[in-house]
Amino acid sequence: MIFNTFAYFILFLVPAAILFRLVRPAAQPWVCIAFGASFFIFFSLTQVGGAFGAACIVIFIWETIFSRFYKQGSLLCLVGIAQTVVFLIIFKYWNFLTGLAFGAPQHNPFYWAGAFLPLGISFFTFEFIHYAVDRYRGTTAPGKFSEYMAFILFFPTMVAGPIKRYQTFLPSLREPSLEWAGDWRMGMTRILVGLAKKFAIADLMTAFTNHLNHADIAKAQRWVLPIWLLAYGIKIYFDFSAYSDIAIGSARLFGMKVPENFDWPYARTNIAEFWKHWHISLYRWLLDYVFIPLGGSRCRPPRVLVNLLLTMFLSGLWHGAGLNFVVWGLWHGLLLAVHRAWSKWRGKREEPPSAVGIIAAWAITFLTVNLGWAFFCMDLPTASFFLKRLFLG
Amino acid sequence: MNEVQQPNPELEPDVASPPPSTPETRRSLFDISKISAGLCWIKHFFDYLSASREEPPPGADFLASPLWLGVWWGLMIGLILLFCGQTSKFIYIDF
Repeated sequence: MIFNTFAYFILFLVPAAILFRLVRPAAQPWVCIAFGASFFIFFSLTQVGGAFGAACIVIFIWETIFSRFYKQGSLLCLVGIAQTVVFLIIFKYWNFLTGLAFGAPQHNPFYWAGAFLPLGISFFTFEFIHYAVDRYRGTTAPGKFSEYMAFILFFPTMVAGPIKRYQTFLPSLREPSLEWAGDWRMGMTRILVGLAKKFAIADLMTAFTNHLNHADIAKAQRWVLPIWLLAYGIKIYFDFSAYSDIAIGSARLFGMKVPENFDWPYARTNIAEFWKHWHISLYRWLLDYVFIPLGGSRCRPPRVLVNLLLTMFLSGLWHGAGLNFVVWGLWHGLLLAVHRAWSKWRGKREEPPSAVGIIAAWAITFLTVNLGWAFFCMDLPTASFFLKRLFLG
Repeated sequence: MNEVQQPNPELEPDVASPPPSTPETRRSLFDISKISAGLCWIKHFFDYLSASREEPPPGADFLASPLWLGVWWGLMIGLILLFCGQTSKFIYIDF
């Protein structure tokens, strides 16, 4: 829940945003730290992880201290990246990976029965890795202890992004906008629109998406199945874009701007354009820290396709510790590879596309993306059963 | 993925930049440039309503008035109150 609770607005957002603007500039990062740490502990205790989850605040303290030793070209940056990945593997993938090796929990001697996900771990690890890599490359300033801690504990974006960059956050923290009225008007509008999208559209779709389980799929008439899947496509877009709206609007109340996450992705006419406008901050992170280091598109064509598949495989695995997410990632990797090969083969267009061509391209993109959601919202056997019923009856 | 073409974080109307009006497009049943311009305006309109853009689209300056803002906030609050009983967890919180 978090963003759709009164506690978020009354205990955290409004007091923090007001205090942030009232204190002197040197104290502003400390306002972010105090409220960020309280936010993490409060919502860990009340919603995810409990006391052990709340104790994970030490990860932020450790990261801040350790990151002070980062220097350009230093081995410590690489150690920082490795320890961040280890944190993520332990909390998110432990049971998944040991399960692949040993099978079901009852046969798995390493099964962690009390496994929990620390609040926002999938997102704050992106920011930890980004900072370590950029300090290694020498492309970001270190900033002060308090500034880096404010960056990683900035609560509007802590739980589910948008994934920030230190280079853009730091100037915003040092010199936030002083236009109270404009920022609050825009910020509040964004938050209200986000909440309305969540409640009135995303949650309404739950009536359909609840049926995406084996028993209901087996009983359903075939024509209903695409409607349920389409409803999930609508739900996930409005749910996550609503979340991003509230995060971006919340940051605006502080006088700060954070990256956009969505820009009409379902209106796009090819899969590459879709990914440039869906979860934009993740797309850019994957581009900068996975795809380009792998060689990007400046390699021989077969290697580019492998880079695409590998990047999207990691994207899928990041979304969840399950084989269905791996298949979802590979599906998108395959679509991107096919689109790339098609674009190369077709060459540059001389004429603008026709209306029919645009509509056909849009429909293909929309349908293939929505087909992929089957692997995102159901486990692999259920998704396979769903697609079998959908296509073979 | 193509590292040369970065997504535009400022939400410039990239879908939307209408292709030039060439003789080919004028001959077709639908005037693509006009349709694109119309879609671009609609996108700008909704982006402004959702506070993703700072300025209203051309010809819709009334959207910047306090009266309109009050109506819009009222509408959003009404929708929130109407539907908030069925609320569920945000999907990405579990990721």
